[in-house]
Amino acid sequence: MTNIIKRNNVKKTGSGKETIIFGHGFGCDQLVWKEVIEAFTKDYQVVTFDYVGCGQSDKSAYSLERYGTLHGYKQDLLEVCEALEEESFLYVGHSVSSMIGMLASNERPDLFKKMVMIGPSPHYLNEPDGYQGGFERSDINELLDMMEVNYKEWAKYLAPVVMSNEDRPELAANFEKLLCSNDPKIARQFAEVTFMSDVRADLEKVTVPTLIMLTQDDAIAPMEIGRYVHTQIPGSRLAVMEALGHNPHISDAAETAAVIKDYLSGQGE
Amino acid sequence: MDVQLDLAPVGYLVMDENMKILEMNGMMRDIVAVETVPVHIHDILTIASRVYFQTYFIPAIITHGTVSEMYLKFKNPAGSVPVLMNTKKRNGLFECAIMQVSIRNEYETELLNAKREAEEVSKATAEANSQLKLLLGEVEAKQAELNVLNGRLKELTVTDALTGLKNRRYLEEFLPELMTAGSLSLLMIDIDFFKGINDTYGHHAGDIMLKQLAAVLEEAIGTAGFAARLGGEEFVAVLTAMDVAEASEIAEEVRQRVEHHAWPYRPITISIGVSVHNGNDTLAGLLNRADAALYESKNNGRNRVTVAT
Repeated sequence: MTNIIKRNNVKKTGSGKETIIFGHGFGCDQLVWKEVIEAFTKDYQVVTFDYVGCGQSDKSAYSLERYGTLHGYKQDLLEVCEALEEESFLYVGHSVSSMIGMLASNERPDLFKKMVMIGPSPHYLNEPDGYQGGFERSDINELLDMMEVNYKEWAKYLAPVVMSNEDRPELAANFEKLLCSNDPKIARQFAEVTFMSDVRADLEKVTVPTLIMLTQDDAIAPMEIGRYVHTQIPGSRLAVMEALGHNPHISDAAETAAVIKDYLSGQGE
Repeated sequence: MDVQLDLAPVGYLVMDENMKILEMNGMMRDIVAVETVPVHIHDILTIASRVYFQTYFIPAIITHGTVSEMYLKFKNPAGSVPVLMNTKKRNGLFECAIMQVSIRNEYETELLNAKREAEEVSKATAEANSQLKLLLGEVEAKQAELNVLNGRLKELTVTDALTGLKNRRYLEEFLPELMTAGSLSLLMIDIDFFKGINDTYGHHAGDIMLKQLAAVLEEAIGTAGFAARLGGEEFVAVLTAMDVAEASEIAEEVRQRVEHHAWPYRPITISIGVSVHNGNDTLAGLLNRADAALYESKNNGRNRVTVAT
């Protein structure tokens, strides 16, 4: 049998009655949660993991067949849950991971007590029916090309470990590891799967209590999309943050952690 | 802004930590073709660049305080402008130097396309190759199947259909070989008055008798050699590595077994002519001598063994 804990590089920390799983978004790995989870380890068991193909996961387990749609990633999440052998979980997903969590909770609502979505988008493309995901197919192609062109530049400048980051050297080291360990082919395919996905029809099937966290100036999942998700998921709650951009868990870990904690502990209801 | 910086042949812009643009020089305004300074970096990036910027630039600048040679595209009414951007964090602000790379970009795009084409060609080649391997495997399997069938066919062409013994063709093909391999004896065997069985009981009865005789012969010869049917009621037993005495002994054993076998319809006997390879014989000679000996057995009253001289 596959060792899921090893395959998905599952890390457990903290202590408490309840377990929170944090799902990372496209283009990074579980290290992005480093700061946020520090706020939870005192009261919760905290689980982070890498999707297959990302971070320190077992990349040999990657296949385009399985990971050619979000359902492959959903399977990863469900398998991680099963491997942890807990009755139920709280789940926090960033970006595409919020949709992966949504698909997982639709399949196994019994496994999830509460869900938090940070910067979700169920569909990134603009559609003739009036839905404005924000992207045309040509934008996605441009992005994929940009990833390819830049990948080498990144690798080049990350190679000599001379980045000045005197105040937080551990972050620099982490980020290097994170970028270097993402296989460019898999990253490209993950991007393609992410930006070509359409899970709008699945939103209304959600039965797990859900919080949607939106930031200012999010170019990837704009405020209107977040509000759309809010209207589609029955009974969902909306939290509009002061944080800017698509990565509040990196840029504003404190506010991000506070909003999540508020909701998970029940005080936000 | 310093006049020289404003006129410098490189784009320069300053952002606050929220990526709002505080100032930009003349070259930067040219790159994005604006008169006044836009509010936010997002306002001048292409959609794809915005995504890339948020996914990679912001985490990098937060962790490292510097980003080098990031490839991005800025919006411009005349078409997007590819640039390389260096950014450094200073006093809480982000200072960016932006170099247009339109010409280099054309070259890099060509390279990228060539790389992709090469990848596709190599993928197609690999697919064709695996297809070929598959076909080759199929051909090999078919070949093996054919070999088995051929073997079976060959077996059929040298087998007597009625009795399952070897036939005349087999003898013609293999006796010369056996003759050169060493000493060889032939028992030429013929059923006495066999025509009477066919006439009285019909050909079906005759066939049953022939099959039973084949079984009796095989049993009597055992590992000493093998039996063949030449046609009609004529059989040959081929014995290897035997001298005259041994060969006659087996011939006599065969004759007796036939005589004492519990035959259906009516008892039968056989006449046998024995010839033993004398070292100078041709195959024809060996057969002729066995035939002559058989003829002698018939003439001397049948149901007997005659050894050729």
